[in-house]
Amino acid sequence: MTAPPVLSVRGLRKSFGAMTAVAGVDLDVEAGEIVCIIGPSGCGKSTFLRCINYLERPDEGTVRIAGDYIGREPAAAGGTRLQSARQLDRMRPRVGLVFQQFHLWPHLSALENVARAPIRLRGVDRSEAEAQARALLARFGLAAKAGRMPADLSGGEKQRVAIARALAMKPELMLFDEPTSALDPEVVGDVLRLMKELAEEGMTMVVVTHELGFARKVADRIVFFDAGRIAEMGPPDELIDRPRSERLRLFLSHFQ
Amino acid sequence: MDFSVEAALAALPALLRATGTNIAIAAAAMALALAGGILLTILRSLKIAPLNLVIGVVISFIRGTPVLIQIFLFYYGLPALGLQLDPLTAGICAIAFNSTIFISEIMRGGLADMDPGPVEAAIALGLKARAIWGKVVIPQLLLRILPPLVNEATIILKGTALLSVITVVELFRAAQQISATTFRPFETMLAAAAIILVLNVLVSQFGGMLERRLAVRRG
Repeated sequence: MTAPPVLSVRGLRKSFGAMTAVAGVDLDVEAGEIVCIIGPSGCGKSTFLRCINYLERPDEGTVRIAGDYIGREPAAAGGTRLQSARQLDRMRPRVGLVFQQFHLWPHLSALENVARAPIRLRGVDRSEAEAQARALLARFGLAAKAGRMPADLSGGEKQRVAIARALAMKPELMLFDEPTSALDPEVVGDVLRLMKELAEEGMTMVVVTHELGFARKVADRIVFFDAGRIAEMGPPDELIDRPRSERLRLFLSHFQ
Repeated sequence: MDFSVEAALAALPALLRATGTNIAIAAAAMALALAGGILLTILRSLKIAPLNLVIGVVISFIRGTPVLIQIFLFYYGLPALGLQLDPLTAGICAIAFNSTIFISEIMRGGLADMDPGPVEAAIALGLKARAIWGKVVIPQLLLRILPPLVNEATIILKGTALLSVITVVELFRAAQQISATTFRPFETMLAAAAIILVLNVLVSQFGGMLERRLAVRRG
């Protein structure tokens, strides 16, 4: 029997008032696979990502992480029902999310940012969690910054701390929401390199990005989102070099 | 008018002894108000309509009436409900209750312009609501509203003078008693006011220092 996909999305829909952000998306991501999502701004790709761990509650559809439902599950009477807050909180640590604006906790040091959630949630004691956090930070070249407050870190450093914070929960799937869009050009490469390392180690990742170069080099598959739907999907070379739709051709032309 | 510096100085030792009561009242009231303000803020965030309606009415009452009247109500009004408090307890409760309301209003404003991002990050990691309030929201909120909180502390300290009307022997009650024997009310009251002024300057200085030291944690 083959293992279920790490991420399996079916019929996902999300509207904000009259505006449809995600208009019915199906997507499977296998273990170790890297999927990059590209598309014009406002196409629903970030909303889609935020729906995966129910930071936004989708209106319809189901999401499974390695076979387990998150947020909404089939009801005994047919149809689906929302999970309780407790069920949801149990599922969420299995999915790491990295934000464009980092969203570190400003009142805690880099080390505390990384160690906090494992202490609260994985039942790890403080010294062990801090040792793990130190090891993660050291691996990301931040050993000397462990005691610093986020306000004292550069954008690139903040994002690396944010990635370490997500990894500290040992997630099965990492989601990245435009992780380099808020960074200065000279540090974008550092963060992308780190993500590439993660990919090479076998982490399953879904990355919303505008970095086509990264997507081409690292992604196993690229998904082109348009108007809340998957408009095109395929291996990087095929999708970038031989776009089938006019919409994708037009979108790609902005990067030349 | 002849102002006697000697009379003011002569009153000082007795006044300073009474000041301890004001400091204790203010410290107790501030601690209670801070806890009450946090609790009320969390209650209001639950968005339970009938509860928020009641809270809204209480807020209007507290904001719209003199604190002096509120002190009277706690001391003379509560016995009618079967709750007889001694003057000191009634006074501390009245000031703390008043301040709870103002602090919860300060917190509401602070919450409204707080970046929701760090909270989203906490939700995404699977932290429970309780941990999110305790470890993410409240610490950031307190850092953010530190200046108005320090201001509230100075208001509380000044407000302790009002407890003289319900017979609490604090600085201003002591000043009245001293004036009654020395017939130097002006000097005595001015000396009492100077003591409160010095204390409040210290509170403000301490607040400013705290603000500078914590600036890096505000993000």
